[in-house]
Amino acid sequence: MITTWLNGLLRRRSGRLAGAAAGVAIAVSLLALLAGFLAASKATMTTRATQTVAVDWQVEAQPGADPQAVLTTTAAAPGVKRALPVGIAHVPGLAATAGGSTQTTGNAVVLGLPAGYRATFPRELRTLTGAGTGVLLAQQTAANLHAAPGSTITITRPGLPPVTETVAGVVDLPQADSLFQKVGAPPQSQPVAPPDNVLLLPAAEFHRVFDPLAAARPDLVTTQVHVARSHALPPDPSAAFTSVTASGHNLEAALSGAGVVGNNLGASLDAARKDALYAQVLFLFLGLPGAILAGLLTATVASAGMTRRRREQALMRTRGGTDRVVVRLAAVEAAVVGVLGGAVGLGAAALIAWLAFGSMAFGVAWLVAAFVAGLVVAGATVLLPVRRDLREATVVGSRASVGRLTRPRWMRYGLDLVLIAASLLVFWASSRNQYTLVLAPEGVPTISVSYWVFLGPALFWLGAGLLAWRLTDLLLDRGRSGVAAALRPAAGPLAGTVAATLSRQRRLVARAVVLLALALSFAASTATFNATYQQQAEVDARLTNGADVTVTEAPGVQVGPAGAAQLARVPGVRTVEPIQHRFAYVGSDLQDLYGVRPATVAKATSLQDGYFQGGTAAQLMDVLAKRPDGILVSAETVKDFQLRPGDLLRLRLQDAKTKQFTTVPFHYAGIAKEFPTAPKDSFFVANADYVAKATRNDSVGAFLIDTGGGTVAAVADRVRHVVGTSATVTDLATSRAAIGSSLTSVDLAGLTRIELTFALLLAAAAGGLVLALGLAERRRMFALASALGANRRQLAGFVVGEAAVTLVLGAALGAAIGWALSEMLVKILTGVFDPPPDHLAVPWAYLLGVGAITVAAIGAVVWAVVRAAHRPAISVLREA
Amino acid sequence: MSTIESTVDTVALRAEHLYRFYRAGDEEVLALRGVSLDVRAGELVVIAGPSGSGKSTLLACLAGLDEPDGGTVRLGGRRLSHRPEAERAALRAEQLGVLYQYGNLLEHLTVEANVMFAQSLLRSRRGDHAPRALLASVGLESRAGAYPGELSGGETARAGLAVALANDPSVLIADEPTGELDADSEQRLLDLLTARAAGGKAVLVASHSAAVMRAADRVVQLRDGQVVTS
Amino acid sequence: MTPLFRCEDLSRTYGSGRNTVVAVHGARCEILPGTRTALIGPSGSGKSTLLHLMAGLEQPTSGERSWPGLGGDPTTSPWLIGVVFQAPSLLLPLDVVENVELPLLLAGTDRAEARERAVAALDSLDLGDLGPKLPEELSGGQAQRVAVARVLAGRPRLILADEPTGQLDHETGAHVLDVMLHAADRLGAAVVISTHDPAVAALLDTRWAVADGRLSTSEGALR
Repeated sequence: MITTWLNGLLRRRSGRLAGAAAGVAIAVSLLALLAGFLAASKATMTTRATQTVAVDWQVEAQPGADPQAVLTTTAAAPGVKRALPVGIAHVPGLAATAGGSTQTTGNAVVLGLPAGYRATFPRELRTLTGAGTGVLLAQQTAANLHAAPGSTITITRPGLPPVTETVAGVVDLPQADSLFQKVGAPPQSQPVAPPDNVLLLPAAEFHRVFDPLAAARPDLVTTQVHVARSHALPPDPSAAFTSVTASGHNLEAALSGAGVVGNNLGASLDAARKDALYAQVLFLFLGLPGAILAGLLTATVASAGMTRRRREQALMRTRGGTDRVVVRLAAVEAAVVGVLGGAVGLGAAALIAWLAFGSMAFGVAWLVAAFVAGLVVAGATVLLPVRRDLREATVVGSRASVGRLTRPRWMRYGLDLVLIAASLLVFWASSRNQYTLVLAPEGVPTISVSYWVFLGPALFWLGAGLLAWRLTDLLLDRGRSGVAAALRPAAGPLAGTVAATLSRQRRLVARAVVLLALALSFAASTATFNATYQQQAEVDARLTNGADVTVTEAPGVQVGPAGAAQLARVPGVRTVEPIQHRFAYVGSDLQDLYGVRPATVAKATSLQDGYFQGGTAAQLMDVLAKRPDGILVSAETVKDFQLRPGDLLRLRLQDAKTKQFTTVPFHYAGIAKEFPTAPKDSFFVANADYVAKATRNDSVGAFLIDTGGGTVAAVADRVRHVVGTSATVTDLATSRAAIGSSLTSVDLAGLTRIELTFALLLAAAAGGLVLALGLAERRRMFALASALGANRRQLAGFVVGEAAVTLVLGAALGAAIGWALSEMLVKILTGVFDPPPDHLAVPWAYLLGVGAITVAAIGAVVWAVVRAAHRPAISVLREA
Repeated sequence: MSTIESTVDTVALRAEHLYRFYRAGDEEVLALRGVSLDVRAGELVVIAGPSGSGKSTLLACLAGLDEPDGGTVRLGGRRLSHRPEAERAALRAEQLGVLYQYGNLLEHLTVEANVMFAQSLLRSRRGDHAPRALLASVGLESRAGAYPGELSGGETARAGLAVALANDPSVLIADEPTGELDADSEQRLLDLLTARAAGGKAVLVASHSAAVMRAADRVVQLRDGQVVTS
Repeated sequence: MTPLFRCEDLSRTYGSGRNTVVAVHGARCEILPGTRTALIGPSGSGKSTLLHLMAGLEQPTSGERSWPGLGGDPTTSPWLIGVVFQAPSLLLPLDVVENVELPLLLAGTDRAEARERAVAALDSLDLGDLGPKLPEELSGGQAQRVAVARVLAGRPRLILADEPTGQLDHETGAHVLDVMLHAADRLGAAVVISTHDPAVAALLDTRWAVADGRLSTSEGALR
C-alpha cells in the first residue's frame, strides 16, 4: 500500500513534493553553509592567533635553576620544535657620543640572542637600517642616543667596568610587550610597559660581557628559553587553547619549579576562543531566523495543497483507513520531502561553498544537524496539519472548509502583545547586567555564553510577526473603506469589490504580509548589524592606530607642526593633523597629555561620542576651541580630585627652554575615556596652541594621516621613505594584525555574504512565492471574473490591489521590525563592538537592492497571474 | 465476511429518531428532525427531496461520517452512532461502502491502484475479490490503468462504485451518484445498483433523478429534515 | 429581425494529432430575439462548447460567427449576453449583493446605480434577504437563483444557460427555470438553454439537437 501510494505521489504529485522539498532545501543549505563557514572561520582565527605570535613560549629560568637543564627539558617537551636560550641583563644605562655630545639613557635591558634566532623567530625583530645580525639597537634607543649603525655604545655594568660595542644595525621590536613580559605574573596584574632602552647582542658577546656580572649580581642576569612550537593544533580555538595551556602546565611540571612558562601562544588563543564563541553565537543568531523563515515558507508551500490533502485523507478514513494508516502515509510523504530536500540542500551548500570559498571542511556533526533540521521542517509542515485534522471527531468535521473567518485563538488572548512584552522584559533585565554575553570566570578554563539574553530579540521577532498579522487583519476587516479608497487609483470603480475580496480572504493576505515583513526585517537587521560592525571595526583600528597612517616621532625628536607640510605632499595623503604628546604631573601622578587642534583633529581620525563623557565629541572639541585652557581628563582623575565642570586643575609640564616643570593652569571641561593613540591608562586632552604657548614648545608627538580610503599600506610605505628612521610609521593593517585575532580582524565578509544572499532570496520568495500561491488558490475566481466580462486591466486591478497591500504593509512593518531588532541586537551584542557604536550604520545600497528584488518578484508574479487569468481555461469553470 | 444472514426481515441499516443541528453563520439550523428509516438486505431504497431537505446530512449520519445530535444509527444490528471514531471506522470497514457524487477516487493513482489501495486500507483483506474482478463487474476492465482525470463521467462513476464495493459491504450508501451523468451512463450505473440489491445486499441512494426513483423498491421523501412518506 | 447570434460552419477542436477531440463540428444556426431555444443532447455531445462559443467565451477553430443584433463583439459589451453556468459560479470571497453587482461594475456602471440594480434584481427573485450571505452559506438552488439574478441585473438581450438545473432537484430546478423565463419575458431577451432533460426542453419553444459535436436545428430531431 505504501509503495502504491508513494509511486502515485512521485508520478503525479511531483510538483507538490518538489515545492515543499525546495523549502526544506533552502533551510538545510543555509544551516549547513553557516556551520561550514563557522568552522572555517574558527580555524582561521586559530591560524591567525598562532601566526601573530612571535615567540610561542618564553620559559624563564628561575633564580637558582640551571639554565642548561631548563633548556634541555624544554627542548625535549612534546610539541616543541626549537628551543633557544636568550640571555637577559638589566643595566643602569647606555651611553653614546655623537657630534661632540654624549647621550645617556636610564635603565636598559640587554638581550643575548643565539645564532639562528632571527630565522626561528622572524617576527620578533624587524631591521630598520644596517645589518640584520650583530650588535643591534632598538629604534627608540637609537633615537634617544642619536646613534646609528657604526656608532659606539657604552654599556654600564654595576660593579664592573663599562664595555663598548659598535652598532651594526637598528631594529624595531613589534612585539616588545610580550618579549619583555614579566613571566609568571598573576593574570590580574597590570601589564608592564616594555623598557625604553634595549640593546641586542649576539649570544657569544653577551656571555663575554655579562657572565661576570651574572656571577656577581645574579639578580640582574637571567635566561629565558624561547620556544617555537609545532602549530599543528585543533582548528577550534577553544580546543587549541586547552591543548596549548595543558602543554604549558606539563612543561612546568616537568621543570618542577626550575622554570616558569610565559604562554604567549596560549594568551593569543585565549583571545581567539572568546572571539570564536562570539562569532558562533553571532552567526547562529543572525542565521537561525533565516532557517526559521525558510521553514515558514515551506509550511506555506505545503499548505497550498492542503485542501486536496484533506479530501484525500477524508476519503481514506471513509474507506476504513485507521488514523495510524493516515499518519503513516503522511509520514512517508514527509520523509520523502525531508530526505530529498535535505540531500539537495546539502549538495547546494557544498556547491556554493566550493564556488565561493574553495572547498570547505564541514564538520560531520553540523551536517547531520542541518539534515535533521530539514527533516523536522518537513515533518512539521506535512505531518502536523494531518494530526490536527485527525483530532476532528468525525470525517465530516475534518472535511469542512473554513466558513466565515473566526479570529484565531492567539489573537483573542493577545499572544503577540504578551511575547513583545516578555521580550522587552528580558531585554531590560539583561541591560542591567550590561548585556554580559560571554562569561569567562577567572581561573576557569571554560567559557560559556549566556544564551537566554537572545530570548529578547527572538521573542520580539515572533511577537512582532504576530502583531503584523493582527494589524493586517484589523486593517482589512475594519478598515475596508480605507483600503478601497487607497486602491481606487489602481482598481477604479472596482476598488470596493477588491477591498471586499481582500477582507474576506484576509487570512491569505495576512500570511503573505507577515512572511514578507519577517523576511525583510531579517534582511534589514542582519545587514544593519553587519554594516555597524564594519563601521566599528574601522573606528577601533583608528582608535588604536590613531588614524589610517600614523607617524610617531621618536622622543627627543623636535618636529613642529610645520612638518605636516612635507607629509601632506605624499601622494595618497588627504589630511595631516599634528598631535602633541607630552607628559604632565597632576599631583604626584605622571600622565600622558595630548595636545590637539580642536577645530581640525576630527578630520584626520574618527572621534566617537562614546570616547567622551559630558558631551558629544563635537561639543567637547568645541569647548576646547572656545576655551583654550580647557582640558579633558580621565574619570579616575575626576574622582581623585573631586572635579566639577569649570574647576581649576593645575598641571606641571616641562618647559622647553628651562627643561624644568612649570605649573600650567587648566579648567576641567569633560571626560575623555579613549582617544586615538592614547593608552588605556589615564591621560589628558588639551588645546595644542595653549600647551605650546605654556611650554614654549610646539613640537609634535605624532602626525595623524587620513588617506581618504585609499590603500593604506602603499601610502604608509611612501611616508616611511620620507621620514626615515626618525619616526615610526604605523598603518591600520599592521596594527590590526598586531592586536591579535580580535573579532574585528576576522573577515566576516564571506559569512555575511551568505546570510545576506539568503535574506535576499527569502525576501523575494516571501513576497513573490507566497503571493503567487495565494493568487493560485483564487484561480477560479479570476476565471469567473473574466467570464463575467472583466478585461485585462480590471483583472489586473484585483491582482495589483492585493500585491500592493501586501507590499506596502510588508515593507512598512518589515522596516519597523528590522529597525527595532537592529537596535536590540546592537545593544545585546555590545561586547562584539569595540568601541560601541554611537549610531547604527544603515546599509542603504543593500536595503534598496532587497527592496528592488522584492518588488521585481512581486511584479513578475502579478504580470504572470494577470496574463493567465485573462485567458481562462474553461475547464477551470467546470471544476466543482 | 458479513455475519448478517440474508433472511427477508433482516434490517441491514436502521436509523431511529435522528436529530442534527448545524451552524450557518450566526444561526443554528435543525437539519434533521426525528428521521427514522430502515433499509433491509436486498432492498434499493431511494431518499428523495428538494435541496436543503437534509439528504446529505442524513446520509452522512447513516454512514457514520457524522454524529447525530439525537437518535441512533445501527449497522447490521450494532450501534454505529455515539461511538469513538476508531470503532466507527472499524464498523465502516467491515460493512459499509460509500459512493459520493464526486471525489471518490485518488487523483494520483490509477483506477486499479485505487481499488487496491481501498482494499489494503481495510484490515481484513478479502483475497477472493481481486481488483480486476471488481473492475470487470462494473465494466472497467479495459480502463484499469487509466488515471481518474482521463475517464469520462460515466466511467468515473463506475470506478467510484468499484472502490466503494472494495470490501463487499452489506450496505452501500450513495449520494447523488448519477447527478452529472447523461441518460445512458445513468442507466448503466443504475443497473449495477439494482443488480447489487438483487444479490441480497442493501443499497441506499439519495437522488432526485426520476430514473433512479423508478428503479427503487421504496422511495422515502424528505422535506425540511422530516420524512414525509415512507 | 436581426439575429442576435449567427454562425456558419463553426468548429472547435482541442488537442492535436492522436489526441484531437472535435467538440463542435460545422455548426450553423441563428438566434432571433425573443426566442426560447433548447439545446438537447447527452453529456459530452458538445452542447457546453457550443454555448461558450455563442457567449464569446471560447474561440472557434474554424468557421464564422457574429452577433449582428448586439452591435458586434460581445467582449466589448459583455453585459448584453448573460451566461448561467452549470457549476457554482459565484465568487466565493464576495457576498450575494457584491456578486450580483460585479458584472455591472466591470461594465463601468456607476457604483450607486450598480448596487441599486443588483438589489432590485435580487428582490425581483425574492432573494432580497440573502444579500449579506456568502456563497458557501447558500444551498445549490439558492446559488443558482442568485446566478440568474446576476445575469438579469445586466439586462441582457441574450441569456445562455448551460445545464442550469443539472445539479438541482426537480422542484428547485423547475422554480429556477420559471424565474429565468419570466425575467427573460420581461426583458424581451432571447433564451438558449442546454440540457439533457427532456422535461426541461419541453418548457421551451424551439428544440435543437446536439450529438457528437453536430448541431441539428430542424424540429423533431429529438432522439
